[in-house]
Amino acid sequence: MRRIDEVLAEIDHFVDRAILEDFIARGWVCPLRDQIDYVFEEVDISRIRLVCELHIDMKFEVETVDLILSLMDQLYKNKALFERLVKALEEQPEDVRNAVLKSFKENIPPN
Amino acid sequence: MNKTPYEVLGVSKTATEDEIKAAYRKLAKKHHPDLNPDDKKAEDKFKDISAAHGFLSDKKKREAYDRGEIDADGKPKGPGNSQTSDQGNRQYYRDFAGGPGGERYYSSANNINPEDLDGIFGSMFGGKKSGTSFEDLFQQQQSADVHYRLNIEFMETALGAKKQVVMPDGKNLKIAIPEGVNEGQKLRLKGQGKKMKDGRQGDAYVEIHIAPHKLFARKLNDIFSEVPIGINEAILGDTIEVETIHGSVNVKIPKSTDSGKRFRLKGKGIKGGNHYVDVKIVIPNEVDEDLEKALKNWAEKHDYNPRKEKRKENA
Repeated sequence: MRRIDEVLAEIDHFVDRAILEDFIARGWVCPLRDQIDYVFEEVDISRIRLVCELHIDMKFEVETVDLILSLMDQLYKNKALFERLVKALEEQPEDVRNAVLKSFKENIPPN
Repeated sequence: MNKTPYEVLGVSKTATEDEIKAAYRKLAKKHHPDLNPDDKKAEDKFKDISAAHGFLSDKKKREAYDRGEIDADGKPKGPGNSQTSDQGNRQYYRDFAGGPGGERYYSSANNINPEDLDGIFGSMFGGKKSGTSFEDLFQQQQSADVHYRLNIEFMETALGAKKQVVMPDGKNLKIAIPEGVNEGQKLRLKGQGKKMKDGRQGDAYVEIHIAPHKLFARKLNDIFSEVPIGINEAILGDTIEVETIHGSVNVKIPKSTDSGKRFRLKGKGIKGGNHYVDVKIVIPNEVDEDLEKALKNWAEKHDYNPRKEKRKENA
């Protein structure tokens, strides 16, 4: 957990508090807050770097960054759901797992 | 042999700074590891692209390289090439997105919730629901942390506030709402979660939802509102009182102010943001004899037609 000043010192891009607060207000970065100020986890810092690269380095417009992040978040949500499904399958008896895997492979469309 | 930085970016040795930047952007868009979450090779490619861009963007290094004074195998070495090593050690968003903190980012900060699963499996199994709902399963897996949603008034988010609220589970929480808190943002209240049998003390997470305000709308830290003005004020000009989140302020309406004209009230938004007020001309409900006479008198002496004026502007 890091405070905003530590995060700003860590980021290579020129980002000040106002810019970071703008990222937060746009919903691009969602740090937690305690009763004092924002607190950042590794996931937030890597997200800030990603936003800087998209918006500052690659010059994607605001609307495009919105779109990319939204699609990315949907992807990770589905990945997380899929991982939970796999975990649930792993906990099943072998014959159930095999039956599901067999059916799954049969339903994968050919390339 | 490794590629030269020019080859990595696919530019000629005589490429201008802009050409190098453009080439970098094009390749970075294609190979950024977070835009290719399942492609392990993307990271290596992006590393090379970033290093080549960092190298060629440094005028001195580029000149020294072109003169053959420094390493020419395309992988810059020695002091000043920290970009290579930074990139080497760096972790990307995709490395954390699958972790616990990553859930905060899933589709507008909505966590995976039982409805998602019920929706997916409901459609998978032809809408049949099993005896145990996914909600039940999630309840069993809950950690020491507790999550709440809290609806708060617009002004409390604009200016910040201290609240004491009773949550649906009966928990009484004292919450300091920070000034300018955003829709969907989560506040962490340390130690306000559940106490587990193993001694763990969880935190409470409160997701903020902002009720709309009847006068004000908000975009980032700026506030927007509309204020009605009379035709006399619009034509003759006046000083009017306008409500802001910091109280009312006087705004000078110049002569000949049209409906829709926007005035900026500097620093009257959230945390130094601005307040933008649009004026809307409102005509009296009843037009009395005085007004009618005055306007008739004016119309007889003037050939004013706003549609004609518009046509002239467009011509």
